[in-house]
Amino acid sequence: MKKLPPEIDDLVWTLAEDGNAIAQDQFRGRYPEYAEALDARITLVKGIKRAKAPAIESRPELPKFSPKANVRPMWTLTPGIAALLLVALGFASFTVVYFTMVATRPPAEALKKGPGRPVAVNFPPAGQTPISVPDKVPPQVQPPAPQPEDPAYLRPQSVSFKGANLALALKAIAAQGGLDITIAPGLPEETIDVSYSGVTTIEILQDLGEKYRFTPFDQGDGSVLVIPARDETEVAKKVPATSIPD
Amino acid sequence: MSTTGNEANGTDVQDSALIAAVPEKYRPSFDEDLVLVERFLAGDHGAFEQLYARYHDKVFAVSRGILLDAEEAADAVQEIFTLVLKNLHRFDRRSKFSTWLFRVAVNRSIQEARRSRHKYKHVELTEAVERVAPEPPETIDPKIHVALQKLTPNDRALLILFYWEELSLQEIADSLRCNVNAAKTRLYRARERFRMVYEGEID
Repeated sequence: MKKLPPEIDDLVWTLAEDGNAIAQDQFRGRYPEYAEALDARITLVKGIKRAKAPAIESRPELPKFSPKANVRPMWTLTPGIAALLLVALGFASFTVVYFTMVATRPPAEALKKGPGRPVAVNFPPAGQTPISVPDKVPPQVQPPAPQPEDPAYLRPQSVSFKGANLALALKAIAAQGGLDITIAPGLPEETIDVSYSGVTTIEILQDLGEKYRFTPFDQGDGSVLVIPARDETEVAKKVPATSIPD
Repeated sequence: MSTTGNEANGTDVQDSALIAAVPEKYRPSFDEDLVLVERFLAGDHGAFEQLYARYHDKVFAVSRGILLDAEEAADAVQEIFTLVLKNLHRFDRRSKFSTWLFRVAVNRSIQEARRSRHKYKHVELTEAVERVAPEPPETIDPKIHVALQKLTPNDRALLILFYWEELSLQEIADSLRCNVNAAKTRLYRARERFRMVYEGEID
């Protein structure tokens, strides 16, 4: 049977489903070439509608309702729906990550201001090879430099010696404060007892210098030079130590 | 002043007679299903029995039409009403009870039909020969039965709801949880596939 034009096909379905005999006869009179198609469609629709009655008759009398114990849940996920949900979840997580990255990206103006390739203004004379200008390495944003901490020798220390050789004691004190000490020859061989608390290394050395007549010169680079002599005029200007030696 | 039981009954009978005398289209709409649902939720188990008796045939017809097997359909009906019993508190009353019931029936029957299809895929040939195929009743056009068998359960569900249960497009849409246009498109496609199979245009 040849394919019906869409509008005729719709009309044939409507007439077959409606069952209005007068309308069907009118159609046959107007479109005799489609009368056969209409009859076939009527048979089809009647056939499917009639198929219901035997289906009902085939069941026994109203059976007693007996609830089933193991009935699967009402709405179960079919594998297809589960796969779709997984895809949707993956897409959602990608979207969230993408937009988070976009949000943290620097603005476009900042990117435009970035260094471009340098352009040579003057051409080299004929015969000479042009000087290649290396690409500038874009300056990297350095994290803010941490504030320098005070060196150890400027931090308060606690020192305690008993019966120690003066030169060895000075070296030990300097080592504890992180100072590189150089002792000039001529330091008296003396045995000392010291005890300091909460005093910087330099202050300890200055205090000991007053007592044992040497002068510590702070070199400013983490080293100190000990000269076994004292300028008496300077002694008066020295700041007294916060802790008095024993 | 007191009213005796007989007087009250007499009034009820009078009211019923009056209501019966009024043409149906002029009677106030009264959703008996909803009353039964409310009674069941209030603890009246007899109300559920009434719903079961009222809708058993319709649910069986839908299930039978989708599964094309009376025995499986009878099992499916028991499952469907068990589900309804367990989930009736979820019925949101936005649609008619019958629509909600058809939705449950269609979904469960389609699930069963898919399971049955997979189940019979692995049947050995000897078993298949021994199995007695359910014969369609004589009054049904065998070509109709064969054409329905060749359709998918979803297509069968649409045709059953439309031609057997004579649901409107809106009711079909509610039963399938889609909008009217989608239901219309799906129904027309199913109808066309059915015609093509019936007329031998496709297998």
